[in-house]
Amino acid sequence: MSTRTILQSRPELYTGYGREMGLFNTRAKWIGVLALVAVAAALPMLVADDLLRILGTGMVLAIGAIGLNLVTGYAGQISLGHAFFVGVGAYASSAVAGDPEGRTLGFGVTFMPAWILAGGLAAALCGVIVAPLATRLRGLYLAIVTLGLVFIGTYIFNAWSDLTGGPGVGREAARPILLGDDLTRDSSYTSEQKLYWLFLVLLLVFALLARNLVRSQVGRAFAAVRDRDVAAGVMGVNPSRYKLIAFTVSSFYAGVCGSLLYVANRHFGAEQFGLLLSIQFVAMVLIGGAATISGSIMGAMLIAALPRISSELTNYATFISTSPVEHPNVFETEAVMYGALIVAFLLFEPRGLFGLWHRIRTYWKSFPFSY
Amino acid sequence: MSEFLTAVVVGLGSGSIYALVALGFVIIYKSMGVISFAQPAFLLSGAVLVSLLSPSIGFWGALAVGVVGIAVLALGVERVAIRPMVGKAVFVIAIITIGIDIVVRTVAGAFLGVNPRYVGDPWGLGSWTVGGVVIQHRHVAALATAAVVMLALFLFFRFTPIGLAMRAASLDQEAAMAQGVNVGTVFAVSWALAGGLAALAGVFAATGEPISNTLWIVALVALPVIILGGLDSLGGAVLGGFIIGIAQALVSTYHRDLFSGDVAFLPELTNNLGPVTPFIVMFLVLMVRPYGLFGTKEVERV
Amino acid sequence: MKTPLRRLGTLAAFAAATSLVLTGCGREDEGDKNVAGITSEPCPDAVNEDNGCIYLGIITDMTGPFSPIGGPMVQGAQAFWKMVNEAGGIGGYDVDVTKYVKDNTYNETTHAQLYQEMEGDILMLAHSMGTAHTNAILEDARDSDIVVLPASLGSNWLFEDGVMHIGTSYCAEGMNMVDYAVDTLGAESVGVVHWPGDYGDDSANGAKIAAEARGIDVFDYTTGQGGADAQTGVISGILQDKPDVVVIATSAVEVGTIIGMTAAQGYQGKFIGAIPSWSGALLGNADLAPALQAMYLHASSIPAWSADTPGHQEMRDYVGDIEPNDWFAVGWAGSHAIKALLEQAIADDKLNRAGVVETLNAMEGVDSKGMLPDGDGHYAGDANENAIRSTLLNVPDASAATGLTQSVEPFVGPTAQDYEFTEACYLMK
Repeated sequence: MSTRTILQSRPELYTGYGREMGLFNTRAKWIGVLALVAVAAALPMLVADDLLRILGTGMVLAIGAIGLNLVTGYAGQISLGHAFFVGVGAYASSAVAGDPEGRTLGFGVTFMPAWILAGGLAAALCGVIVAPLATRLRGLYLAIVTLGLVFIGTYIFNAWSDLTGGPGVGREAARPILLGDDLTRDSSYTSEQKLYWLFLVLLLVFALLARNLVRSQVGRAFAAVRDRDVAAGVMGVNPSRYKLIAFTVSSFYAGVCGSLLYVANRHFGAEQFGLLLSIQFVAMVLIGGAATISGSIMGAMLIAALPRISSELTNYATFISTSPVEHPNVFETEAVMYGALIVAFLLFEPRGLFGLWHRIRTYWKSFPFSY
Repeated sequence: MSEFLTAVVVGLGSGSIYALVALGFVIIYKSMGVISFAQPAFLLSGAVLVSLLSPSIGFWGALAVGVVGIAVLALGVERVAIRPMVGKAVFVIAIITIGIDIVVRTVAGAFLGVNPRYVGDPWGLGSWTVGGVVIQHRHVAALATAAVVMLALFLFFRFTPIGLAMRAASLDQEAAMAQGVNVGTVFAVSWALAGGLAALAGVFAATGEPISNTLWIVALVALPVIILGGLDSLGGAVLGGFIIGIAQALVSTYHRDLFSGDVAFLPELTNNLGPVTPFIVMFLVLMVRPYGLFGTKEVERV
Repeated sequence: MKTPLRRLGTLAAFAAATSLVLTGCGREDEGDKNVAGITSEPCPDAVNEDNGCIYLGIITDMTGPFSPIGGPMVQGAQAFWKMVNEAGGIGGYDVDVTKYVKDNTYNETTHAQLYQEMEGDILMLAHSMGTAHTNAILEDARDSDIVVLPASLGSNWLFEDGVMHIGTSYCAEGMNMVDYAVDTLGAESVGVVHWPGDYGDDSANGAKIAAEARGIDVFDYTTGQGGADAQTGVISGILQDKPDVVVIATSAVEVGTIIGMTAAQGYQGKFIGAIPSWSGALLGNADLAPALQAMYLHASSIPAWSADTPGHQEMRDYVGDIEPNDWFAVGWAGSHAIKALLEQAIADDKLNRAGVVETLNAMEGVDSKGMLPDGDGHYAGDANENAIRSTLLNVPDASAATGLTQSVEPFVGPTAQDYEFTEACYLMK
């Protein structure tokens, strides 16, 4: 028996780099993903609509979080400007799909893939424009500069009321119409169920695309730039080029996220794309775990559900006043809980939910030995 | 001309406030290499605490207690939530400070209550008019306070043992530890200083007008200030504060003349550009100097 | 091959467990949605144990920038219904406005999610804060026959079905402010200081419509939130243009600094502020008080806390010794309209969602004991028939509970009288 066959007869042993870099590099991962997808697809039949709305929002946010993770987790460029690109995507898509006769800018292209792509491409274009400045900066400088992008973006969104409807007013979001059925209206399934399935499919598509990207030559170049951009340059990986690619792809994901984020609400105002949204995306990436696609999804789900979680937790504290004018009241407790949960997560598990999962997995793998 | 000079005086006043907040950011950055996004919350809490105390113990007493109180609060926050994270990725720490910001800001907002409150300062909206130039008392007070604080900080870093230790630690933490510097104390003192500075800035930002629960936004203007001055430059923070303050006041004042659509090359904009001016200035400067005006350029070794 | 199999087993068990858990909390049968929010069981902590319960939802800003408005309004509504319940409730029901009260932190997505969460449990939404926020749920609310009472006074609500708007719109109020300035103050030019957006633009465009109708000059000062340093442009603009009267549609913070600074530098015109531009605490500033008393008028359609109407008297008597607040009074006054709606629906034997919508669309007025403007609570006609157009004026008065005393009886200016609303004023250019 040759060494090769012996090796092959042992399960879960990589016999080549190609296999290690495979899309699903272990069988357990492959089965696990299949099972998860099956459960996720069945959820709308089991779970109430209000939770589906939150989960659906979480999946859309996950697309954006994957985008941020590409530039931040994989390529090491911290961006606090993600909300700006999400905003660009939201406005581009709703303008493309918008009513040409309407009050705000609209081109009447109601074909869903067209406006989703338009949102992504418009944001990617903005990413290309910003990248030359961003690639010159690193670390906290880059973070604050991208933060400036959010402030300037908010000014533009507020001022350009022909496109955005202006502050406090807003405009209609694009309508997702699939085979003649408006997914935001109840039919044989409720709109929450239909949108959930739509978002699930899109999330799977974009997550697989991202996973494919990061295991390719481009993804490895990202990691080289992240770990030491000068060293990467010496090895023939052009840092500026890959930072540009990372920014562009990340902005594209943000734009797609933006094009879908307000579909369930049908309407959105110009103040939505501020600092808070950017921070939430960074929190999703860090709480989920940097440089993991599955971590981004977990992080996004958690951040989307966090207001509900803090509200449910507050329900147990029955001694807190529900009166809006007494202090402390449940509303303040909820807000405090939101902040405190973020702090607690990062204090106790700085590697994020992915790190937590990793620990659990390792524990069971080596059970009953703790090492 | 008097309109121009009036704007410059306003800019010097608000610039002093930005400089005070920016100094806090820079002190923390120099000691730990992170940016604390909890500064806005400390700024708001400072103003709220002083507004609660000043009716009973007077403005000056309240100012002293408020600044010290917020410094102690910042010290506590550092000990509980930041110290365990030392050595972890700076962005994880940054997001933790954002979580802290949400918590502290909500609590301060609860104390603010429903009706606008005043810090009870002696200056109000009073002003002198010198040859058509309006000089508000509160801006002079802010400028004078900022000058005193800067002098005190200079003496502190120059002559006190802990100040020297902080400078040593910011140059090389490990070498400083080897020389017997307690780095933990350095972190604690830097957070306390930053908290106190933010509280002081908050009080001056709230002079003459009711405190609104959106006062904390002032602290975010300090971010372009520190980029402009360079993240690790105390002098840069001060100068950056004044540059941003004056630029903002000038843009606010002349916005209507510049962006009415009458001036060639400039678009018509109804919304005043003043609030985003700091960020625009930041972009313009960074296009020329990627490490700000006074920041240290990183030396790269492969 | 043991390991993968065991893993597979674990996964299957995990998946099974997950689906079991999910089924447990799973998709309940939603029952008859038309009577959702109405139960024959008593309310939680009911006043009348024998009564059924009607649940009203509230989504407002409790911790964000508009919490100083949201909190007291909700408190006012809760006090009102407590009084109604203590008097026996309505038609065999107590009304609950405490179980479904949620904080949107002034975020639209949160607002929509919270609405979704309470949608199956409430008869109507008694308070929805934010124009864009309310628009994000309005279509869903209409689909489920849930009447919405928005906590904003934009003229856009005139054009929306299923919306219970109360008071005079900011737009008509803006017209009246300018008409008053021209007719009584003799103004020949008017400045308009306003935030951009649903509130500020509505008020400002109303003022501009009136100024054009009256043939006087207008100066526009669009501004953002913030104190004196943020208002530098507005202050220098007013000092330069010297309009006779300034209409101001911002919050109290901006009003205080703009009036204080312009007065200190010699400006001598008058200011007329929209409803949200006042806070009694402004008079607490000794520097500011004289300028406010000399120069400021407060426009409103819902009288202030200390107003002399039977409804306000009843409110003050009932709540006793609490901190007076004008928004509390607005929350209380609006509840009168809801009570009238529910009582009518009960009287017509239409106490269900569709019936309440039907009743709303036939409603022609409400007896609010003088708390709402005359003719309010009219939803039976088209936008122009339903629109309330009257405005009253208050002056600062340190001796009044919230610092305001009514100085001018409700009036309808010539511009607002004949004005035909065709779209929300804030959308006009």
